[in-house]
Amino acid sequence: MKTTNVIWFVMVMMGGAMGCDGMEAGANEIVAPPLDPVVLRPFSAVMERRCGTLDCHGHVSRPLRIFGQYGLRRPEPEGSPNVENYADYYSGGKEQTTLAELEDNYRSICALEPELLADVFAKTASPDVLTIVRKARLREKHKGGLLWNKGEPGDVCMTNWLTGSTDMAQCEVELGHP
Amino acid sequence: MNQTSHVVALLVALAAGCGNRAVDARIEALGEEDPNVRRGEFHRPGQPCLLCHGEYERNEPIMTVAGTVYAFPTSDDPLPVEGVTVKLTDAFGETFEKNTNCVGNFFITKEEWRAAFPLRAELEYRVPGSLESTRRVVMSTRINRDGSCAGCHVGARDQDSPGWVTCAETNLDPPFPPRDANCSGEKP
Repeated sequence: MKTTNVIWFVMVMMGGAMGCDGMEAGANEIVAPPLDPVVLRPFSAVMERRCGTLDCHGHVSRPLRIFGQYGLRRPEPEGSPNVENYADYYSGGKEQTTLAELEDNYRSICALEPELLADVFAKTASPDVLTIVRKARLREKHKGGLLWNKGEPGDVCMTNWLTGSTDMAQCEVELGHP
Repeated sequence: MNQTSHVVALLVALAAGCGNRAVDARIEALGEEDPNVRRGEFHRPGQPCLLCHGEYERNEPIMTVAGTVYAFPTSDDPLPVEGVTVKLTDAFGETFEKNTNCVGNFFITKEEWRAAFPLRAELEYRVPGSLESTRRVVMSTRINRDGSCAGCHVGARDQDSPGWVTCAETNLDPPFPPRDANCSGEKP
């Protein structure tokens, strides 16, 4: 009986190992807007301002977790190369949103609906298919309510980035709102 | 059991299952009441008021926004400031003001104001040593959904908290007046 159990165990382990071998390289890769900090920063700033406050998406437990200067900071130990001035690295501190935080925000946004995002980026689907777009417009239930209507600066900022445009002018307009 | 008993048992079970364990755990973490402070406007300064006085627990009075204002950032024993005007503006541009009491607490009840989030918040405090001069402090972000100041502003400044709600960055010269010895209320 014991021998049978051992044989089963070995077979299961071998099967698991073979299953891992079967994963094709790049199977988890998605097509998404490029991670370009120059283009991403203004869009991320809008997301940080409108979505990433500590009582909303600036919380570790929240889907679409957003890091940023005025919200949740990415956990970093003292001396981290990601942080320029650690004394100012707190929620509301002077250390601006770091590159590491930008990258994490990028991953948060892209990982929500990666396949649909790939379609939107390839312009084979409208941005309306994305939950992130619909929630901000309150076309889908959203605890945070209406952020902007279709065509308003915040909406254009978001859809431009999602479709790969580098025109971030409307992000600055949105950030200028009181 | 007859059919009525089954229905009652089912309703009780359903009601018991409707709690929010995450909120329950946060309430439990607040600890017991200070026996030296009666329940009321002076109790539990620095704690997230709406955990109990919100729509979940519905302890009276039910509040829209509530919190505690201190003098300046510190890692322990923050100094409460009395008479600070907390001015809030909601999404429709409607404003509401409330003053802090001697433990720094203020609260706005649901009957007084049903705010439409997000809210803009600012403080106006009397400059210590001056009879008429005041200063304004504007919150850098909006309050999007949590009416408890201490839902986010808790403890010292950290990577997940901007620290207590304070009037100034450091103590001023002349300094903020010390805590009123006759004031009821516990320290956070």
